[in-house]
Amino acid sequence: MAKAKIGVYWAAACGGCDCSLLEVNEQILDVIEAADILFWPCAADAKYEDVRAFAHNELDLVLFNGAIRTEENREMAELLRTRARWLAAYGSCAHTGGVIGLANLSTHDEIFATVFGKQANWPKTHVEVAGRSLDLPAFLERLTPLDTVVDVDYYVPGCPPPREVVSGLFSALIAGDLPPKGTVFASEKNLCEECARERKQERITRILRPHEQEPDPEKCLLDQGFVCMGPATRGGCGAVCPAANMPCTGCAGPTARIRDQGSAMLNTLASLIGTGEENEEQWEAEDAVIAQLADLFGTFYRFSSAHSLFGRRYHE
Amino acid sequence: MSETIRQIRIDPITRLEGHGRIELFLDEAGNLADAFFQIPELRGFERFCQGRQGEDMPQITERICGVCPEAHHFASTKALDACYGAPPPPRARKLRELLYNAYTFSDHLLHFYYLGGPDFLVGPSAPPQERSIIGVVGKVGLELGSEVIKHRGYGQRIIELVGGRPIHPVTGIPGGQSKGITTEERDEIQSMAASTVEFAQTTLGVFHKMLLQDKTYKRFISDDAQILPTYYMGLVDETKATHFYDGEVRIVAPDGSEYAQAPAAEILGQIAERTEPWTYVKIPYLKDVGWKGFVAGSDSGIYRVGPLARLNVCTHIGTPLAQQEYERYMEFFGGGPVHATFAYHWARLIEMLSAAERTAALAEDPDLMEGALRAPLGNPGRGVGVIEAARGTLIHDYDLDDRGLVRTVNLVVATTHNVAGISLSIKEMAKDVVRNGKVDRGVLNLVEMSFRNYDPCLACATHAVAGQMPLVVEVRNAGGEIVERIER
Repeated sequence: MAKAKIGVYWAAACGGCDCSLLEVNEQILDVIEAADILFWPCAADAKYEDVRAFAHNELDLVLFNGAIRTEENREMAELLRTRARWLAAYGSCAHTGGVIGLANLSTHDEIFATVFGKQANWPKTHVEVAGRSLDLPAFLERLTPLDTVVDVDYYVPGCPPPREVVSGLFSALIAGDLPPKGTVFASEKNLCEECARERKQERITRILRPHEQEPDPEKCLLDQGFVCMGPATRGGCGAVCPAANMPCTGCAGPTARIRDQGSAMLNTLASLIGTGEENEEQWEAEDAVIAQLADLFGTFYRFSSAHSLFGRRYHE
Repeated sequence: MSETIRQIRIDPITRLEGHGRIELFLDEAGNLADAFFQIPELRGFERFCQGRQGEDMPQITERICGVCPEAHHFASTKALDACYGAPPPPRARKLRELLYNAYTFSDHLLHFYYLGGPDFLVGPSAPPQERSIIGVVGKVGLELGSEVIKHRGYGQRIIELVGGRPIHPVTGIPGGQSKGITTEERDEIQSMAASTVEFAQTTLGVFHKMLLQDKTYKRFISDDAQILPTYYMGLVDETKATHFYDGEVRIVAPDGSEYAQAPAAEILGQIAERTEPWTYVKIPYLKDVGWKGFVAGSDSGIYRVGPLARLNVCTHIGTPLAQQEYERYMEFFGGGPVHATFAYHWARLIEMLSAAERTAALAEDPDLMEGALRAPLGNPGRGVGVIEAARGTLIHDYDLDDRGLVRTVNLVVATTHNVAGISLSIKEMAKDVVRNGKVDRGVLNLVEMSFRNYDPCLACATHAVAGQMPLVVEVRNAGGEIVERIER
């Protein structure tokens, strides 16, 4: 069997996805045996000119991590799409926009004003410095996941994708047995299915934040009033955050049956807060619980705001 | 100014964390006229962290960098400790330090074998496709290669056991840790940590054999072009030993004299920054020394951080095996401060050994298994957290409102401190190796080797430094009382 050719690229990313490929430890030696990694800026020396020189579909598989934040990110997504037979949106930023999608709550100018101060100091996409011509890729008005700019074949959820998921992907690659287009490398079910905590769907009368109280180690965090994103989040990681006494933050994105992760979770939460009784006193009590949610968007759309039905903030 | 007749772009620069590009401008004779180190990425954390719940910050800000998430996680957690006036109890603090030293070991290992080291372990002009961990395994053999993979895995496994996940840990909370470890986990950590000490020594053996004897390395470690007398910054403990998790920030001048030593909150006032229209990174310098352009020397406010800097600001290492190697290092250079940029590689491995020794010692500490994991919290306010990331001093500075929501955030990030030094190193190297228009990929890789010394994280680098924050810092004691108020 001919060796597979693969590429790994980061767009607007943190590098955690690249590191997650090493989390499979010794299996990486099998990967190297079965495949040539022709492009991987984090760990190898091929340049953009080398990628441009690749033939159409020359790479069998490209693992693309990171969101589309700059013009360069978009150009690289388009270039790699033409060079890759199979293109995977790898990790939360490529899949649903990731944490950095929270930037869509601000405009380009607001972000620049916060980071660089007055407009005279802002970096420019083209500048002449003492006769030298220098360019920077434009910072786009809105951050988007990979599949909004190119066709995507696979999704590998998680921030970063967990070891078991990566290992499964590599095993398929090594066996030359990649699954059909559209495959999501994670569980079809939600995180609660793989969580060791006991869930009784108890009524919530008070929202607790992780630093406010030490949780009971056996009971469901949501039952205790901690906002755990488990019910609306795709499983596959083994519920490692709840096992560490911390609520799930939803990094793997929505389950297969959910379109909008945040609204699905709000719906679940509302049903746990409400009693079904319809009277003034009860409504007030329910409102008081809801009011304890201090950061709705950052809690319910932590990793999926760029993928949500909300889009972004618009300004006149 | 000589007229530019040729522009060469290295894009992207590789074997580092994040996006970077180098533009070289050659004159008519084919020699370097100018060089620019650009960072073409920005994500805007300072903006979208506003309005978030303070306790979410350790998990949000670690997404700045997935290579050093532990550094952001705990700089953030320590800032929250300060915001809530709640230093963690001994058990929580030692769990954090255990994880943190395992991270430092693992991150330094990653640089030597995967990122910066292949230039020497495989060779600076080797074919690009071999100049990577794959070529390293080919060169050092599968046996040592497997040990590399195994021990990186040990570091990551310790992070996972203490932090809940191997990448982007979750257990840091204001005033403590969300969980402890079981005795089985402690035993596993002890045995892995002991092995990391041996492996760090093995790695130093590799360094002595394969780098210190290598003619390219020998050339650059003593080459004038790669010797930059600058200021240095790093954390020291109360004995002025190097410390990764905590301490005061110490700055020394190019002649080794102390320029400043103070808590991080005060040091923030000593740093100014400049913006350039051609990069998304801001360039910090020592305010009172001043910006003199991209030049080294005691009149220039350029300072450096990271392993080279840390060994220049401390008086000793604080662990026995690494101390021996530190003495050997200082003897080699005839005493400190060491200004040779290529000494970063050696300094990094001395720290890797020290981190392994500290991990092994902490793994034996009985405090890990007993006592409270959380301190009682005061009311939220302003707080500064400092830590030594693998790449240098990292400061998180938050202002929380009375609901514990983030009003403003200031991130002073390791690689940002080094941007001026990196730019200077690139320019000096390019001037040295690009001659008479002869430029091939081997030559361009030599240019890239100058920045790899710093192990830069460019995803980290594009963050606001000083200047955007409100003007008052309050330092609180364990009881949450304000003991110091600093204005700038």
